[in-house]
Formats: sequence, structure tokens, C-alpha cells
Amino acid sequence: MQSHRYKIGGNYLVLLFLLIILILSSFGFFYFGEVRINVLKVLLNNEINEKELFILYKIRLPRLILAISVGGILSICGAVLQGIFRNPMVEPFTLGISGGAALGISIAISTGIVSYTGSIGLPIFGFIGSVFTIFLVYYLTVYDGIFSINRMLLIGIMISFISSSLITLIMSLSTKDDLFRIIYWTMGSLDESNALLIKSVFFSSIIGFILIYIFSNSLNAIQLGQEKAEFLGINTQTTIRLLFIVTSLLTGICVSISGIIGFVGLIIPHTIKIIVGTDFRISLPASFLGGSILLVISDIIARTIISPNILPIGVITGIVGGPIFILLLLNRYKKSNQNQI
Amino acid sequence: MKSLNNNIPTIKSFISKRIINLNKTIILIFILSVSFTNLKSQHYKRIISLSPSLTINLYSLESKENLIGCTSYCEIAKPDKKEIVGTILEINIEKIIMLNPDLILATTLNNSKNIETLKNLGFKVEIFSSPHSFDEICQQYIYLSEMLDKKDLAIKKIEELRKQINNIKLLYINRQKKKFFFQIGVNPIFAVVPNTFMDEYITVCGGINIANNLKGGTLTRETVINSNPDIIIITSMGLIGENEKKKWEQCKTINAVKKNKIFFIDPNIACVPTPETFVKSVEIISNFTKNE
Repeated sequence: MQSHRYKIGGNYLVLLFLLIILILSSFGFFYFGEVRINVLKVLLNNEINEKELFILYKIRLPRLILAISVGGILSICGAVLQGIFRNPMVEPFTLGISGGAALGISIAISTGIVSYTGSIGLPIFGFIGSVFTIFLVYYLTVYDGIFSINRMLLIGIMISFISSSLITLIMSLSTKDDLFRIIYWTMGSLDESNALLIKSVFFSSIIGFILIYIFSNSLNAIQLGQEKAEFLGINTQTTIRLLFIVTSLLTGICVSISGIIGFVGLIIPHTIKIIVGTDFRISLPASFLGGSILLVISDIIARTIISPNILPIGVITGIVGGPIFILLLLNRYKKSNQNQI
Repeated sequence: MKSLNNNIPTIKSFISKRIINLNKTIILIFILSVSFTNLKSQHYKRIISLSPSLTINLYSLESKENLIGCTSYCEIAKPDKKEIVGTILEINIEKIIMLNPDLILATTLNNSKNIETLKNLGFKVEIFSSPHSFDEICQQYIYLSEMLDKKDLAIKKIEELRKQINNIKLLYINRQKKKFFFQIGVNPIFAVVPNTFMDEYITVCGGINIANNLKGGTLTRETVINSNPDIIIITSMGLIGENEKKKWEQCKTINAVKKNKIFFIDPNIACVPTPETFVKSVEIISNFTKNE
């Protein structure tokens, strides 16, 4: 009992540690770039000129908010979906949500609708595409009244493949300009200047986190298997349905605004599980912080490594996150082998 | 800029209402100063180009001294060591802010999110669509020249280039039309399609594009063999282009293979929509075919 309490205490320390890393990396986010801006000096001595202040306030701050929110959302959604599907390969994009958003955006671009709606049109159509996919997956899963988690996963994967093929079809028939726009969107980016969209993602991430955290005990029970969870008094089907809808909507919001930023929702939940274990009361906030840290650091690297040129952020999340995850995984297997000996 | 900074009172807390209001005021002053600069000048002095073709046009219009930044693909500006502000994939917005241009030239091929951000930040951004013909290329060239106060120079140059094109057209009057296959992509095979400025190279040189009936540019090797082009032009893609030539050479039934009429053309010339590169491309293609 005492050791369990120590473990919980240790895990809270991990959360504190992650929070400190996030704060430090945020300072780094403000500091590195075309001009180096020391936020501490700005706060204490107001040492900043108007161009730097412009960059800080209009470029880096919105970008940081987006990095923290999107990284956090994708990561907790990955953690929840891996939990409810009890499948380590599931991530927020597995169920076709990103494919649906990409399809919505491809249709909007290729039909020229975007030229009437302006810049706000892309995220709107992306969100419509993802919501349509969510309800299609959900409807096809429950159409005969029987809810099966495996069926939902398979339908999601199939919808994802269908969307991908339809996007390729649209791209094949598109003009050069439209083709470029679709490709740019699929690469993912944190460059968003619309304050309303940034606020939407930020508040969605907070509300989404609170909603998901309420189910952390139910998620712990579902880890034991649906039958055992029901013995413990958990309405597993309702919980899974609600969590599927919440995570899907959150992913849809992220994808429609920042495009497809891969690896975050897969790597971070696994990494956090290796560090703090499977208790969702700890792993959910830790995943949120971990996802935010990964995107913040990845964006710093993307903006500075080949400066003045910039790399797409998805390139960095894979290159940075992938090896760290493999190292942790190998370390874990090494330890478990040593324990067996 | 620094003097403005000196007027700012000491800030105790970043999140205080005061700093937020002050930030807004400074940003407003910055945006207004950018806008005012744009309004008062008829032609622009500090230009950033986000496309190699627009950079070539700026050089052609003898305005390279007004160019303060361009992409890393703008080969023509490299000897002058112009500031690099990004690639075709991503644009460094912060760098552009630091350079403080009064005009940003972009195309519809640039990342629309980046362009939207630049517009929202108060910069004057001129977006050029992909031209579909030599006439459209010339229209855009003259439009650009107006912004640089170089319209007379542009008109003079265009007149000269049109004469050159007309001279090339004369070579093909009363001659049998040859069938062209103009390949710009491999795997899938991608052809130049109608209603593009590159298709006009073929028509100026008295040819027929075998992809005339295609809506998209992708086609199969069988379609090309069946169409039996007299001339195959491949935009050179290094080793990939050489391999592609070898593949076509195996198709012995094609007229172009029988008569050894497979040619390469530099994509930095043929795929760039500027008046001068257009005429240069037409001249190169004409050299491939005029003795036929």
C-alpha cells in the first residue's frame, strides 16, 4: 500500500517535471527563430523593439498556443483510443478522421468552393469531412444494434482507405494549383493567423481534456476488459461511445486547422505509459503535457535547423519522437529480460 | 524604431491589461506604417518574391536592386546573395517581418496558409495565378512592370519577343503537323496538357499534342505507343530522365524512336512561365524540329 502511494507521489513528480519542461521549452519557443527574443528580459526590463514585439505577439504566441493545444489533444486522444480499443497501434488518425477531413478539404479545393468562402473555408470543410466520417463509422458500427469495438476499428480503417483513394482520385484530376494546396494541407502546419480558430483549438483542448479526465477511472476499469469493467459497475458501451465521439471531434478540430501532424498521437501515449504506467488519472495529463512538449520542441527545430528555410513540422515529430520512443521501448524490454533472468 | 521603444513604460507583468493595450497600439502603428508606405508609393522599392518566375521577371525588368528577399529556388538571384525567405513548401514569416517589404509577390502555388498570414499581418501581397498561355504570361509581366514603374520597358521587351515567336511560327506554315509527346513526369507518366503555356510551345512549333484529348496529365505507356508521336520531349530529370529515354527507345514502333527524335529540355527554362523563358523554350523546341 505504501509503495503504491510512493508510486503515485512519484508520478505526480513526473507531471511536475513535464510541466517544467513545457514551460522551459515555451521560453525556448519564444527565444529561437529569426530574431532571438528573451521573454524574461521583455517581462522584467521591457527590452524589446517594435518588430520583435510584433513577431512575439502575432507570430510566436499564436503558434505556441496552437502547438500546445494540438499536441495535447492528439496525444490524449491517442491515449484514450489505445485504451478503449486495447490496441497499441491505434492513434487518432486510424479511424479515418484525418482521411475524412482531408477528403472534405480536397473536395472544397477542387470544386473551387474555397475561393468563395475565403481562408476560413478550409478548416470548416475539414471539420465537416471529419464529422461526416465520425458519424459514418459510428452508424456502420451500430446499424444492427450490436456494438462491437473490433468492428468499429475495422470500419474506421476501411473508411480511412476509401478516403485516401478518393483523395488520390481528386488529386489526379486536379489542376496544378489545387494539387499544391491539397499537398500543403496534408503536410500539416502550425501557421494559423486566424485568432478565432486558435481560440477554438485552445478552448477545445481544455474542455476536451476535462471531459476525458472525468472518464479516467472508467478507462482504468476498461483496461481490465469490458466484462470485468461491467462487473465493476461501468457502463462500458456508453463510456466507449461517448469517448469515441469526444476524441473524434477533438481530433477533427485539430486536423481541420493544423492538417495532419503524424506520430504525436501514437508515440506520446506509449512513451508516457512506459514512464508513468497505465493509470489514466496520471497518464492523461502526462500525455497532454508530453504531446505539447513534442510539438513545441519539434516546431523550434523545424523553424531553426535549416534557417532561414523552414521544414514541415510532421518531418520533425517523426524524426525526434520516433527514435526516443524506440530507445525507451528497447530499454523497457532490456529491463524486463533482466528481471526474468 | 528604438526611440519608440524608449517611450514604453516599464512593464511589471506581461498579462496586465496595460501591456496588452500597449502591444495592440504598437502593432497598430506597425501595420499603419506598412500600409502608409504602400499608399504613398506608386512603385515599390522593397520587394520580396516567393516564386522563381517572378524573380526572373524582376531581373528582366531591371529591378533587381528592389528585390530584398526571395526563395532558395530563385537561382537567378543567387549571385547577388539576396536574403532567402523560404522554400516553395514553407515561408519564413519572421524573416519577412524583419525585412519589412513594401510588396510581396506570390503565386497560387505558394502555401495559401502562409499567404493568408502575411495578409493578416498587414503586408501588401500580390498573388499571380498560373498563366495558361503566352498572352497571360505577358499580361502578368506588364502588370508587374506597372508596380515597378517600368511599363515602357516591359512593352518594348514583349514586342520584341512577340516578333521572335511570329518568326518561328512562319517556319511551320504549310508544313505537315508533327505529333508531339511532351513528358513532364515519370511514374505515373505525366504529359503537358492543353490549355497550358507549355502546350503552346507545341502549337507555336506547328505540332499537335498527343495529350490533346486528356483532361488530366497522367497517361499510360500504351496510350503513347498507340498515339505514335513523331517527337518526344522530356523535361530532363537527371538519371530518371535518362532511364525514361531508354524505356521509350525500347518501343521501336514509335516514329520518334525510329527517327531518333527524343530530346531533353531544361525544366528551369521550359517549366518557368516568364516571357523570356517562353521564347527560349520555343527556340529550343524549334531547333529540335525545324529540319524535319
